[in-house]
Amino acid sequence: MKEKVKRISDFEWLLPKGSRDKMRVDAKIIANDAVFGALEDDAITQLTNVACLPGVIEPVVGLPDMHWGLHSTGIRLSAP
Amino acid sequence: MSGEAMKYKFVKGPTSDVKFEAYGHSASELFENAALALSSVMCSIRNVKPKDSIEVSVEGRDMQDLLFNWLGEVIALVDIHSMFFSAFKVKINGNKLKATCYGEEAKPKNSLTVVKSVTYHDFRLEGDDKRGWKAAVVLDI
Amino acid sequence: MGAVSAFDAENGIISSGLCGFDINCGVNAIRTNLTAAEVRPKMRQLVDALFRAIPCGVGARGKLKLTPDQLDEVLVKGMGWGVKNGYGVKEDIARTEDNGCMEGADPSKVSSLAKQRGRDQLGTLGAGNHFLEMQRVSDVIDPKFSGSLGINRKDQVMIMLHCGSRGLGHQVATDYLKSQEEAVRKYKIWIPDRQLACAPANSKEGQDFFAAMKAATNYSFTNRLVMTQWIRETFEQVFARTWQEMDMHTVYAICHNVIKFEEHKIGGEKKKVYVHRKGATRSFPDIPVLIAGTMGTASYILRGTEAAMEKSFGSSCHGAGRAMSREGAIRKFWGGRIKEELLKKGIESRATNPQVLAEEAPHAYKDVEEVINSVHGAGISLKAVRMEPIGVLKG
Repeated sequence: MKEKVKRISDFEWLLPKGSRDKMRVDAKIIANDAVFGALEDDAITQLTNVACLPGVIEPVVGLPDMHWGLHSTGIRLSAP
Repeated sequence: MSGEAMKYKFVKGPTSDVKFEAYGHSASELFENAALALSSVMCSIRNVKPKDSIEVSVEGRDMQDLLFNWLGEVIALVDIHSMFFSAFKVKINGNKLKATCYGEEAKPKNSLTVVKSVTYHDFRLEGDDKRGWKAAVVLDI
Repeated sequence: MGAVSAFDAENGIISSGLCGFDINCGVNAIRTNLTAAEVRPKMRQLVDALFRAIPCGVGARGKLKLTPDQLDEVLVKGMGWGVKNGYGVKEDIARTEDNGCMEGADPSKVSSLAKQRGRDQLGTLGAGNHFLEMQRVSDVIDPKFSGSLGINRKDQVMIMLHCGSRGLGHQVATDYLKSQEEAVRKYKIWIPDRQLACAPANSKEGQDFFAAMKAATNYSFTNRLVMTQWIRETFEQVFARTWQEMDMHTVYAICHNVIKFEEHKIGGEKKKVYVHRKGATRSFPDIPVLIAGTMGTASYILRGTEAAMEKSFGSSCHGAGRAMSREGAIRKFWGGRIKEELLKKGIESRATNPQVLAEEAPHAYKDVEEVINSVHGAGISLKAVRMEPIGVLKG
């Protein structure tokens, strides 16, 4: 999903509503280069999920602290 | 610990949440082990003595819903009674269960993480009494 | 989650999953006229005294035991109940989003299980990423705006409180997640993710949830006000001055997991819509936006802007996002080491359990500076003050 995101200004990115099936409106992301670079694909997919809901108004906006997704360090929890 | 079946383990989950898998030969055992996994996130269960007990009844639309409601009940009990739990005895009957939760007063030194809720993310319950039961649960913490 | 979405009042939905389980998790900022130089020598004493004054941790017993009627009053009146009962002052209400009370809360829409959990938890900090922090101002970036908030100089000591609606709010969110799962079937709504269960905003299910959410929101506002009162009293004991003498006034208090029915310009005309902020803060023109960093990292106060109204339904971020899972953080950092690391940075900390410090290790969070630079660069909220922690209390 991340590859479909287009930059529209220094701090704003657009994921147009055609990016996936059932998306009703555009999604926008507010992020600088550093934040955008670190954004996980799952977080972006989550944002597009919101854009599929009935009566949603354009745009759905992802803020730079959006976080989601599987992280490689998520492993077995062992108590001390 | 050889010869003892694994009760639960924590697996890769969403970054801000905790995911575990629980197992059991019977559904009741699975429900007990899922509650243990949940409890181990909230408190240091090895330091919690099972000296007091609370009895509860829980219902659900089906087994999945029953598991969701059961784990939600355990979360609520911690707040309501200011207790931590380190052992559970569950008896399932259709879409209902009766359980006894064993533990003691919640001591700050045993406090770990607040679990806000069980979520529906990847929520799975499958199995039967022949092959055994397995559940996957993601907790919002 | 770090997102804002708005829904049409007539044909849109309202969603518990898009509000978040910790309804009205939010931040209060309190200023003081103390300097870091004055406070640091007494920090150990202060942190320990706060630890005694404010119950924290999982399952902690609160100090207030409310009757069912009192709890209902908190759910309806929010901070108004608090001030009436000796917690905080009227000015705290004026310095809070929505004046510390969402109108239209209905306690009858809050389950008895939620009420059982909330009855004895008012005035508790909870655990996880909730905390109470003493901070020093490191940079006054917008002197005019920060001056209007009573923040004027470097090394001025501030207090930030990050907390939510506790067990009551979590239960309301869970209860309505379940009821919305049924609503989705009843109203035949296709949802891409079970956690986005919802109901039509103008349905009974939708309005019941909204009324319960408002009740939980009011509980959170009141919870933070009770703790504000105890923070003031603790400072009075430690510094032997009244809180008024120490200028310990609320700078502002915000929500960052909430649904608001707000008027926005949609397609050229003004319309009231359901704005869902999940891990997002309201950012209205010239109103403070409070961003609490995580333990050991910077926090910010920003100024809301007109640009936010155009670009993000009057919203900004809420804080750093997690870059590492909690398990990963516990594995990688050990609480004891974290405490030392914080001390080396000049930060005294106290938590119920060392493992708790490890879970919330600063390295586990995305760099807050980049998040702040992003919202500032986009113009949706502009930097005014930067603060660094000097003392932390965590559950």
